[in-house]
Parts: sequence; structure tokens; C-alpha cells
Amino acid sequence: MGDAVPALNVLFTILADLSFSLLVGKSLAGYWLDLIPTKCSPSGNHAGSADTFGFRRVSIACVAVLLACHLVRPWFVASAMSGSTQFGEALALIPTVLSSTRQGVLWYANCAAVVLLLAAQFSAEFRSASALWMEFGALCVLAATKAASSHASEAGDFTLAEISQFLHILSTAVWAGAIVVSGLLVVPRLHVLAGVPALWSYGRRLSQTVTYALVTLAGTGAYASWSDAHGTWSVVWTTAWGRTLLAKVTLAGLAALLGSAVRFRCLGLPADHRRAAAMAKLLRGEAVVMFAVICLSGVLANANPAGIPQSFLVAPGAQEGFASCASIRTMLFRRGVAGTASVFLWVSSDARRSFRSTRS
Amino acid sequence: MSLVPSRQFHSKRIAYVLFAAVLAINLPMSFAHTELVSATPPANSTVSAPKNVTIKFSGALEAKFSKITVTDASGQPAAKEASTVGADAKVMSLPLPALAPGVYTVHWVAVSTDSHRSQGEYKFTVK
Repeated sequence: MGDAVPALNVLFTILADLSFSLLVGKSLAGYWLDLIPTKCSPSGNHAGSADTFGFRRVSIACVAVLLACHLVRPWFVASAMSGSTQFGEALALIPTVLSSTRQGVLWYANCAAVVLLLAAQFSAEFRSASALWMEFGALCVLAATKAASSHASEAGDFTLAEISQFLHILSTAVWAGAIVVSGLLVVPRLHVLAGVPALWSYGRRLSQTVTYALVTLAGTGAYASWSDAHGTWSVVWTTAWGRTLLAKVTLAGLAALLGSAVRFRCLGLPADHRRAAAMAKLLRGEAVVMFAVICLSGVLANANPAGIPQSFLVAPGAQEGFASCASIRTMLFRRGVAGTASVFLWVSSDARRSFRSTRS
Repeated sequence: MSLVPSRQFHSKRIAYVLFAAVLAINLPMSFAHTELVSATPPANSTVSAPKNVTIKFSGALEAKFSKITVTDASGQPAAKEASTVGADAKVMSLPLPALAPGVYTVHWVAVSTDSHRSQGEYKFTVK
């Protein structure tokens, strides 16, 4: 298997994070669509609005991906913990992982969340209150187990660090999920189906929620900075891991800039068709950037920060997991930066053109 | 319609603040991983025959996947017993038999509860 195991691990992490974010984003988008006044609603009634945008199909696909990622996770954990990239060796260690490690305990908790998600998808009324509450509970459990399986849980469960990480994960999912679902699924069609007033009503709620998510991210991130940075900033500039992190940070910053353009140069001004078109383009661009951010987060989540000095005792090549997924990391880094640069140029030129024609 | 100047200024300022906040919030999140804090006997030290090797890490360890081994100058294992993680899950130790004078190498593998694995080695000399 060689390098394939860490690369597959990265791939499944990205798929799980993306699915989780999309489920959160889809739930929020459905709620905001329900709040659009009936006269502006695309289907003329509240209950039908979410289905107009194919949310059920997205939802079932995301849960199926999450289920697949959940089922293969013990194998990846066994591989990461043992350092073995042989399929059979890691497979034999799965019972040990499930019975004797913290990751094993959390896997069982995740089982409950996935079952709840499945039940919500196949309940008689897809958008009934009980189905929505089941989905909300399951997403919270998934975020909690993800926080509990991260480094933040080192000081124990239900600590400030773990709760902060839980909020960080949820806020990230709210930001990424809401933007990707809105930018790619809702806004382009809502503009056409229901007109500008409905788009403005939806967009203001989206913008407000994402702002709250960003504030939460800033708070939890500042706390993590304070508690986790051990004077090791040099690795950011000197290692491939650091450069990947910088690419992610740059993309997140770019997404925030695009979001602020939507908020202040479109939604902050009177609604009209040209601004609506500019907003749709900006949101589409932000969605693509957020997709790249999720991909880079998946790479970093499975990586030790190579090059961090663990005093003078570290042997060369000690950070195995990261070193062995170098190829996928390099590929994602290059394509992510190149893709984002072109998306940014495309979005900014389109938006500039729209703004110019709006002014004249 | 043109943008109102004060609003434009306001929005630019908020955008810069947001950008700076996003830069700040992302950087350190992934820094933290279990690191070696201290070791007894210390690296590159010359000591009387120690009764055990004890290594303290910055985070809790998975007992089933973490280990210490000690080899002598010829690469042969110097300890018969297996290493254990103590009641303090950050500390791992390996009991040693009476070691003859010479150079020994400590190899360690630390698997943190977040499943990240790191390893290293160092030498000490028994006088």
C-alpha cells in the first residue's frame, strides 16, 4: 500500500469534513429559505422551498459519505497509531483500537450520531421538526467527538480547550457549509426563481450568521493561540507543513474578503438585479475558495507539524504520517493556490464589471 | 448609484480586520502535538547504571501503541521487560536490568490520544 494509506486517510478526512459542513450548511439554508416571506418563496410555500434546491439528495449523499468514512476510520487510526501501511497489519489492530484507545471509544459515540443522521434522512417527513432536531443533535455529537478526538482534549473532557475546539469546529462548518451550499446551490437559482427581494432576505441572514461564525472562530482561535503556541512560529516559514498552513490561511483570508464584499458592496446597498448578479458571482467564488480551505484542512488534520523541534531528541523522519503524504500535499497545495488565484481573478473582474455598470 | 464614502471606509476597515482575524485564528490551531518534555537519564549524559528509563511527554499517550526500547552498543536489546504508561498518562517508563558500562540507545515511540505518532532516539553512557 505504501504511500496510499496516508493519502487515502487525507482523502476520507476531506470527504467527511466536506459532508459535515454541507449538512450544516444545508440545514441553515433550509431554515433561511423558510423565513423568506411567502410571496417571495420560490415555490410559493415554505415547506417546498428547500426541496426546490435538491437538499434531500445532497443530504442523503452527505450521510452516505459520512457513513463510509466512519466505517473505514478505525483502519486509518490503526494504521496511524501503529505506523504500519500494510492493509492486513492495520486490519488486525482494529480490535485493539476499538477496545483500548480513546479513538475507539469516540468511534462508538460517532456510531450513534451516524444512526441518528440516517434516521433523520429516512423519516417519513424529511423536513419535519423531529427530523431536523435529530439531525441537529447528530451534527452536535459529531462535532463533539471530533473535538474530543483532537489535541484539545489532552487536558481532559469538558475542559475549556475542548469546548473551545467544539465551537471552532461548528463555526468552521457553519461558515464553510453555508457558503458552499448558498454559493453553489441556492443563490444562483433563488435569484432566478424568486427574484431580488427574496435573495436579499436570504443573503442578509447568511451574511449575519457567517459573521457570528467568524467572531466565534476568532475567539476560539485566539484562545487556541494563547494555549497552544509554544514559540514554534518558525516552522510556518521553513517547512512544507508551514507553507501548506499558510496557503490555507491565505485562502481563508481571501474567503473572508469575498464575504465582506458581499456584505458591504451588495447586501449593504439597495437591492437590484446587477448587484444580485455580482453577489451570486462573489458567493460562487467564495464557495470554491472554501472548498479549497476544507481540502487543505484535511491535509493538515492528518499531519504532524514536521520540523517542530521536540528538543534534540527527535530522530530524522520521526513525523511519519506527514512525510508519507507529501505527494498529495504538494499536489493540493499547487492546485489549490493556482485554482484560487484564477477564481479570484475571475470573480474580481466580474464583480468589478458589475459594480461599474451599477454605478453608471 | 455610487457608494457612500463613509460606508466604503467603514467596510474596508472591517474587511482588513476580518482578514487579520482570519490570519490569526488559523495559524496556531495545528501546532499542538505531543512533544517530549524530559527524559531520565537525559540525552547524551553519563550516569551510573539507571534502574529505568522514564520519559515525560507533553500529552497523554495511548498505552497499547507507545513504547520505549533500549539497545546496547551492538544493537542488542538491553531490557527484558516491556515499557508501561503510568497512572499519569503522559509518563512512560521502562525498567532496566543492571547495565554494564557502555553506550546505550533509547528508542521511543509516542502515540498521542489524537492518534498522532512520533518517534525518536537518544544515547546515554553508563560509567
